[in-house]
Amino acid sequence: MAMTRLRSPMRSPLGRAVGLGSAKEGVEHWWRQRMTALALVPLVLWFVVMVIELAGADRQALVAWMHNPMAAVLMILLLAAGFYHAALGLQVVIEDYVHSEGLKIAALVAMRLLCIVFVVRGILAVLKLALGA
Amino acid sequence: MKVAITTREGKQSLSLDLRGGRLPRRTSRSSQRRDNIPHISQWFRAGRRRLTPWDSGAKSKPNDRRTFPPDKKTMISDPRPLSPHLQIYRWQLTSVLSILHRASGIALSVGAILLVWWLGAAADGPQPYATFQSFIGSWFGLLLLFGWSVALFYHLCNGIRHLVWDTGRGLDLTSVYAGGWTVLVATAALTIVAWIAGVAGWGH
Repeated sequence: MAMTRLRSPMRSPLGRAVGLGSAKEGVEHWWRQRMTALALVPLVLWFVVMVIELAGADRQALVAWMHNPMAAVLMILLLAAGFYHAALGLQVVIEDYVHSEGLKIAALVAMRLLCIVFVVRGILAVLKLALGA
Repeated sequence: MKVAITTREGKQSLSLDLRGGRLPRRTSRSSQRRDNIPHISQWFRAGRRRLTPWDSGAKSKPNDRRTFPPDKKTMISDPRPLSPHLQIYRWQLTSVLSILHRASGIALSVGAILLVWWLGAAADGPQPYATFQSFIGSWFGLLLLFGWSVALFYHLCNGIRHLVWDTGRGLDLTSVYAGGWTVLVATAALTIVAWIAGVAGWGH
Protein backbone atom coordinates (compact mmCIF):
# COMPACT_ATOMS: atom_id res chain seq x y z
CA MET A 1 0.00 0.00 0.00
CA ALA A 2 2.82 2.32 0.90
CA MET A 3 4.52 1.38 -2.37
CA THR A 4 1.42 2.22 -4.36
CA ARG A 5 1.21 5.62 -2.73
CA LEU A 6 4.86 6.28 -3.44
CA ARG A 7 4.63 5.23 -7.08
CA SER A 8 1.54 7.26 -7.94
CA PRO A 9 1.34 10.23 -5.62
CA MET A 10 -0.51 12.29 -8.23
CA ARG A 11 -3.51 9.97 -8.51
CA SER A 12 -6.66 10.60 -6.58
CA PRO A 13 -8.01 7.91 -4.25
CA LEU A 14 -10.98 7.47 -6.59
CA GLY A 15 -8.67 7.12 -9.60
CA ARG A 16 -6.69 4.43 -7.81
CA ALA A 17 -9.84 2.57 -6.80
CA VAL A 18 -11.33 2.59 -10.29
CA GLY A 19 -8.00 1.52 -11.77
CA LEU A 20 -8.33 3.41 -15.02
CA GLY A 21 -5.45 5.51 -16.33
CA SER A 22 -5.49 8.61 -18.48
CA ALA A 23 -6.81 6.61 -21.43
CA LYS A 24 -9.92 5.78 -19.32
CA GLU A 25 -9.80 2.16 -20.41
CA GLY A 26 -7.39 0.58 -17.98
CA VAL A 27 -6.21 -2.87 -19.02
CA GLU A 28 -9.57 -3.99 -20.44
CA HIS A 29 -8.46 -4.18 -24.09
CA TRP A 30 -5.21 -5.94 -23.18
CA TRP A 31 -7.00 -8.41 -20.91
CA ARG A 32 -9.71 -9.30 -23.45
CA GLN A 33 -7.08 -9.87 -26.13
CA ARG A 34 -5.27 -12.29 -23.80
CA MET A 35 -8.44 -14.11 -22.74
CA THR A 36 -9.60 -14.62 -26.33
CA ALA A 37 -6.05 -15.72 -27.24
CA LEU A 38 -6.08 -18.28 -24.45
CA ALA A 39 -9.48 -19.60 -25.57
CA LEU A 40 -8.33 -19.75 -29.19
CA VAL A 41 -5.34 -22.03 -28.51
CA PRO A 42 -7.41 -25.22 -27.96
CA LEU A 43 -10.15 -24.08 -30.36
CA VAL A 44 -7.70 -23.59 -33.23
CA LEU A 45 -6.03 -26.95 -32.56
CA TRP A 46 -9.45 -28.63 -32.64
CA PHE A 47 -10.32 -26.75 -35.83
CA VAL A 48 -7.12 -27.83 -37.57
CA VAL A 49 -7.80 -31.49 -36.74
CA MET A 50 -11.37 -31.12 -38.02
CA VAL A 51 -10.27 -29.53 -41.31
CA ILE A 52 -7.64 -32.26 -41.85
CA GLU A 53 -10.27 -34.95 -41.29
CA LEU A 54 -12.65 -33.22 -43.68
CA ALA A 55 -10.01 -32.59 -46.37
CA GLY A 56 -11.33 -33.70 -49.71
CA ALA A 57 -14.66 -34.79 -48.22
CA ASP A 58 -17.96 -33.68 -49.75
CA ARG A 59 -20.65 -31.44 -48.29
CA GLN A 60 -22.51 -34.35 -46.69
CA ALA A 61 -19.51 -35.12 -44.48
CA LEU A 62 -19.40 -31.52 -43.27
CA VAL A 63 -23.15 -31.48 -42.61
CA ALA A 64 -22.87 -34.74 -40.68
CA TRP A 65 -19.98 -33.32 -38.67
CA MET A 66 -21.95 -30.20 -37.80
CA HIS A 67 -24.86 -32.33 -36.56
CA ASN A 68 -22.64 -33.22 -33.65
CA PRO A 69 -23.69 -30.68 -30.97
CA MET A 70 -20.15 -30.50 -29.57
CA ALA A 71 -18.71 -29.65 -32.98
CA ALA A 72 -21.34 -26.96 -33.53
CA VAL A 73 -20.70 -25.41 -30.12
CA LEU A 74 -16.92 -25.40 -30.62
CA MET A 75 -17.32 -23.94 -34.12
CA ILE A 76 -19.51 -21.11 -32.81
CA LEU A 77 -17.04 -20.44 -29.99
CA LEU A 78 -14.17 -20.41 -32.49
CA LEU A 79 -16.00 -17.88 -34.68
CA ALA A 80 -16.95 -15.66 -31.72
CA ALA A 81 -13.52 -15.71 -30.03
CA GLY A 82 -11.71 -15.48 -33.37
CA PHE A 83 -13.55 -12.45 -34.70
CA TYR A 84 -13.45 -10.73 -31.30
CA HIS A 85 -9.69 -11.32 -31.16
CA ALA A 86 -9.35 -10.09 -34.75
CA ALA A 87 -11.34 -6.93 -34.01
CA LEU A 88 -9.17 -6.16 -30.98
CA GLY A 89 -5.98 -6.72 -32.99
CA LEU A 90 -7.10 -4.79 -36.07
CA GLN A 91 -8.15 -1.92 -33.78
CA VAL A 92 -4.55 -1.56 -32.59
CA VAL A 93 -3.25 -1.75 -36.16
CA ILE A 94 -5.64 1.00 -37.29
CA GLU A 95 -4.82 3.16 -34.26
CA ASP A 96 -1.11 2.77 -35.00
CA TYR A 97 -1.14 3.62 -38.70
CA VAL A 98 -4.15 5.87 -39.38
CA HIS A 99 -3.30 9.28 -38.00
CA SER A 100 -6.18 11.39 -39.31
CA GLU A 101 -8.79 11.38 -36.55
CA GLY A 102 -11.84 11.25 -38.86
CA LEU A 103 -10.41 8.53 -41.06
CA LYS A 104 -9.37 6.56 -38.00
CA ILE A 105 -12.86 6.55 -36.51
CA ALA A 106 -14.35 5.65 -39.90
CA ALA A 107 -11.89 2.77 -40.30
CA LEU A 108 -12.55 1.52 -36.76
CA VAL A 109 -16.33 1.57 -37.26
CA ALA A 110 -16.09 -0.11 -40.67
CA MET A 111 -13.74 -2.78 -39.32
CA ARG A 112 -16.05 -3.54 -36.38
CA LEU A 113 -19.12 -3.66 -38.61
CA LEU A 114 -17.41 -6.07 -41.00
CA CYS A 115 -16.33 -8.29 -38.10
CA ILE A 116 -19.90 -8.35 -36.77
CA VAL A 117 -21.35 -9.11 -40.20
CA PHE A 118 -18.96 -12.01 -40.77
CA VAL A 119 -19.31 -13.50 -37.29
CA VAL A 120 -23.12 -13.38 -37.46
CA ARG A 121 -23.08 -14.91 -40.94
CA GLY A 122 -20.76 -17.66 -39.74
CA ILE A 123 -22.72 -18.48 -36.59
CA LEU A 124 -26.04 -18.54 -38.51
CA ALA A 125 -24.49 -20.94 -41.02
CA VAL A 126 -23.34 -23.26 -38.23
CA LEU A 127 -26.78 -23.13 -36.59
CA LYS A 128 -28.46 -23.93 -39.89
CA LEU A 129 -26.10 -26.85 -40.47
CA ALA A 130 -26.47 -28.10 -36.91
CA LEU A 131 -30.26 -27.79 -36.63
CA GLY A 132 -31.24 -28.40 -40.27
CA ALA A 133 -32.31 -31.74 -41.65
CA MET B 1 27.24 -2.88 -50.12
CA LYS B 2 27.68 -0.17 -52.77
CA VAL B 3 26.08 3.20 -52.15
CA ALA B 4 26.05 6.17 -54.50
CA ILE B 5 26.52 9.46 -52.70
CA THR B 6 27.23 13.04 -53.71
CA THR B 7 29.94 14.88 -51.88
CA ARG B 8 31.65 18.19 -52.45
CA GLU B 9 33.98 16.35 -54.78
CA GLY B 10 31.06 15.14 -56.91
CA LYS B 11 29.25 11.85 -57.33
CA GLN B 12 31.00 8.92 -55.74
CA SER B 13 30.39 5.25 -55.34
CA LEU B 14 31.08 4.15 -51.80
CA SER B 15 31.50 0.71 -50.28
CA LEU B 16 29.94 0.37 -46.85
CA ASP B 17 30.95 -2.30 -44.41
CA LEU B 18 27.82 -3.96 -43.07
CA ARG B 19 29.64 -6.83 -41.38
CA GLY B 20 28.92 -7.67 -37.80
CA GLY B 21 26.30 -5.03 -37.48
CA ARG B 22 26.99 -3.97 -33.90
CA LEU B 23 26.12 -0.31 -34.01
CA PRO B 24 28.07 1.76 -33.39
CA ARG B 25 31.13 -0.36 -33.98
CA ARG B 26 34.41 1.42 -33.60
CA THR B 27 36.76 1.04 -36.50
CA SER B 28 40.24 2.33 -35.94
CA ARG B 29 41.52 4.95 -38.32
CA SER B 30 44.38 2.73 -39.36
CA SER B 31 42.18 -0.20 -40.35
CA GLN B 32 39.93 2.21 -42.24
CA ARG B 33 42.88 3.52 -44.20
CA ARG B 34 44.06 -0.02 -44.86
CA ASP B 35 41.04 -1.33 -46.78
CA ASN B 36 39.65 2.14 -47.60
CA ILE B 37 36.15 1.09 -46.54
CA PRO B 38 34.63 3.25 -43.84
CA HIS B 39 32.40 1.49 -41.36
CA ILE B 40 28.77 2.44 -41.63
CA SER B 41 28.68 3.93 -38.14
CA GLN B 42 31.15 6.57 -39.22
CA TRP B 43 28.55 8.13 -41.48
CA PHE B 44 26.26 8.92 -38.58
CA ARG B 45 28.53 11.03 -36.47
CA ALA B 46 28.03 14.69 -35.74
CA GLY B 47 28.96 16.95 -38.59
CA ARG B 48 29.03 14.19 -41.19
CA ARG B 49 26.94 14.28 -44.29
CA ARG B 50 23.55 12.66 -43.89
CA LEU B 51 23.24 9.40 -45.72
CA THR B 52 19.55 9.28 -46.42
CA PRO B 53 17.63 8.36 -49.56
CA TRP B 54 16.22 11.87 -49.89
CA ASP B 55 19.45 13.73 -49.31
CA SER B 56 20.68 15.12 -52.59
CA GLY B 57 23.61 16.75 -50.92
CA ALA B 58 23.51 19.46 -53.55
CA LYS B 59 23.22 22.57 -51.43
CA SER B 60 23.72 21.95 -47.74
CA LYS B 61 27.16 22.58 -46.35
CA PRO B 62 28.50 19.46 -44.64
CA ASN B 63 30.62 21.07 -41.97
CA ASP B 64 28.17 23.72 -40.78
CA ARG B 65 26.86 22.97 -37.33
CA ARG B 66 23.62 24.79 -38.05
CA THR B 67 22.18 26.46 -41.11
CA PHE B 68 19.15 28.70 -41.16
CA PRO B 69 16.88 28.97 -43.07
CA PRO B 70 16.92 25.26 -43.89
CA ASP B 71 17.96 24.00 -47.27
CA LYS B 72 14.87 24.46 -49.47
CA LYS B 73 15.38 21.14 -51.23
CA THR B 74 16.08 18.88 -48.25
CA MET B 75 14.59 20.97 -45.40
CA ILE B 76 17.65 20.07 -43.37
CA SER B 77 18.66 22.88 -41.05
CA ASP B 78 20.78 21.03 -38.57
CA PRO B 79 23.12 18.29 -39.78
CA ARG B 80 23.11 16.38 -36.52
CA PRO B 81 23.72 12.62 -36.23
CA LEU B 82 20.90 10.47 -37.47
CA SER B 83 20.13 6.96 -36.36
CA PRO B 84 20.51 4.33 -39.09
CA HIS B 85 17.73 4.47 -41.64
CA LEU B 86 15.36 1.51 -41.88
CA GLN B 87 16.81 0.51 -45.25
CA ILE B 88 20.29 -0.08 -43.87
CA TYR B 89 19.38 -1.15 -40.36
CA ARG B 90 20.32 -4.73 -39.60
CA TRP B 91 17.37 -7.15 -39.45
CA GLN B 92 17.03 -8.96 -36.14
CA LEU B 93 15.06 -12.07 -35.29
CA THR B 94 13.21 -10.26 -32.51
CA SER B 95 11.89 -7.42 -34.65
CA VAL B 96 11.20 -9.63 -37.67
CA LEU B 97 9.08 -12.03 -35.60
CA SER B 98 7.25 -9.09 -34.05
CA ILE B 99 6.43 -7.68 -37.50
CA LEU B 100 5.40 -11.16 -38.69
CA HIS B 101 3.04 -11.55 -35.73
CA ARG B 102 1.14 -8.45 -36.76
CA ALA B 103 1.27 -9.33 -40.47
CA SER B 104 0.01 -12.87 -39.85
CA GLY B 105 -2.75 -11.48 -37.62
CA ILE B 106 -3.94 -9.21 -40.42
CA ALA B 107 -3.70 -12.07 -42.92
CA LEU B 108 -5.73 -14.34 -40.64
CA SER B 109 -8.41 -11.66 -40.18
CA VAL B 110 -8.81 -11.39 -43.93
CA GLY B 111 -8.56 -15.16 -44.28
CA ALA B 112 -11.37 -15.65 -41.77
CA ILE B 113 -13.68 -14.50 -44.57
CA LEU B 114 -12.72 -17.76 -46.31
CA LEU B 115 -13.86 -19.71 -43.25
CA VAL B 116 -17.21 -17.91 -43.16
CA TRP B 117 -17.62 -18.45 -46.89
CA TRP B 118 -16.98 -22.19 -46.40
CA LEU B 119 -19.61 -22.52 -43.63
CA GLY B 120 -22.08 -20.24 -45.39
CA ALA B 121 -21.75 -22.14 -48.67
CA ALA B 122 -22.32 -25.45 -46.88
CA ALA B 123 -25.42 -24.04 -45.18
CA ASP B 124 -26.79 -22.58 -48.42
CA GLY B 125 -26.80 -25.87 -50.31
CA PRO B 126 -24.89 -28.12 -52.72
CA GLN B 127 -24.60 -25.55 -55.53
CA PRO B 128 -22.86 -22.76 -53.50
CA TYR B 129 -20.70 -25.43 -51.85
CA ALA B 130 -19.57 -26.71 -55.24
CA THR B 131 -18.60 -23.15 -56.19
CA PHE B 132 -16.56 -22.84 -53.01
CA GLN B 133 -14.90 -26.22 -53.54
CA SER B 134 -13.91 -25.40 -57.11
CA PHE B 135 -12.33 -22.15 -55.88
CA ILE B 136 -10.44 -23.66 -52.96
CA GLY B 137 -9.37 -26.62 -55.10
CA SER B 138 -7.82 -24.34 -57.75
CA TRP B 139 -4.11 -23.54 -57.58
CA PHE B 140 -4.91 -20.05 -56.33
CA GLY B 141 -7.27 -21.38 -53.67
CA LEU B 142 -4.72 -23.91 -52.49
CA LEU B 143 -2.05 -21.20 -52.41
CA LEU B 144 -4.34 -19.06 -50.23
CA LEU B 145 -5.07 -22.03 -48.00
CA PHE B 146 -1.36 -22.81 -47.66
CA GLY B 147 -0.52 -19.20 -46.77
CA TRP B 148 -3.44 -19.14 -44.35
CA SER B 149 -2.22 -22.30 -42.63
CA VAL B 150 1.33 -20.93 -42.26
CA ALA B 151 -0.04 -17.68 -40.82
CA LEU B 152 -2.32 -19.62 -38.47
CA PHE B 153 0.44 -21.85 -37.10
CA TYR B 154 2.88 -18.97 -36.79
CA HIS B 155 0.36 -16.71 -35.03
CA LEU B 156 -0.62 -19.60 -32.75
CA CYS B 157 2.98 -20.46 -31.76
CA ASN B 158 4.15 -16.87 -31.41
CA GLY B 159 0.93 -16.03 -29.56
CA ILE B 160 1.77 -18.70 -26.99
CA ARG B 161 5.25 -17.12 -26.77
CA HIS B 162 3.54 -13.80 -26.03
CA LEU B 163 1.32 -15.39 -23.38
CA VAL B 164 4.43 -16.81 -21.67
CA TRP B 165 6.00 -13.33 -21.71
CA ASP B 166 2.82 -11.94 -20.14
CA THR B 167 3.47 -14.10 -17.09
CA GLY B 168 6.83 -12.36 -16.75
CA ARG B 169 8.85 -15.38 -17.85
CA GLY B 170 11.44 -15.75 -20.59
CA LEU B 171 12.16 -12.06 -21.08
CA ASP B 172 15.96 -12.30 -21.01
CA LEU B 173 17.75 -12.07 -24.34
CA THR B 174 18.76 -15.76 -24.49
CA SER B 175 15.21 -16.99 -23.88
CA VAL B 176 13.75 -14.49 -26.33
CA TYR B 177 16.01 -15.77 -29.11
CA ALA B 178 15.56 -19.44 -28.14
CA GLY B 179 11.77 -18.94 -28.12
CA GLY B 180 11.93 -17.18 -31.47
CA TRP B 181 13.75 -20.04 -33.18
CA THR B 182 11.46 -22.56 -31.48
CA VAL B 183 8.45 -20.73 -32.89
CA LEU B 184 9.89 -20.82 -36.42
CA VAL B 185 10.72 -24.54 -36.23
CA ALA B 186 7.32 -25.35 -34.69
CA THR B 187 5.54 -23.35 -37.41
CA ALA B 188 7.35 -25.24 -40.16
CA ALA B 189 6.78 -28.60 -38.46
CA LEU B 190 3.06 -28.00 -37.83
CA THR B 191 2.53 -26.79 -41.40
CA ILE B 192 4.29 -29.80 -42.92
CA VAL B 193 2.52 -32.31 -40.64
CA ALA B 194 -0.89 -30.74 -41.24
CA TRP B 195 -0.51 -30.76 -45.03
CA ILE B 196 0.83 -34.31 -45.13
CA ALA B 197 -2.07 -35.47 -42.94
CA GLY B 198 -4.57 -33.49 -45.04
CA VAL B 199 -3.32 -34.78 -48.38
CA ALA B 200 -3.00 -38.37 -47.07
CA GLY B 201 -6.63 -38.32 -45.94
CA TRP B 202 -7.83 -36.79 -49.22
CA GLY B 203 -10.82 -38.68 -50.58
CA HIS B 204 -11.18 -41.02 -47.60
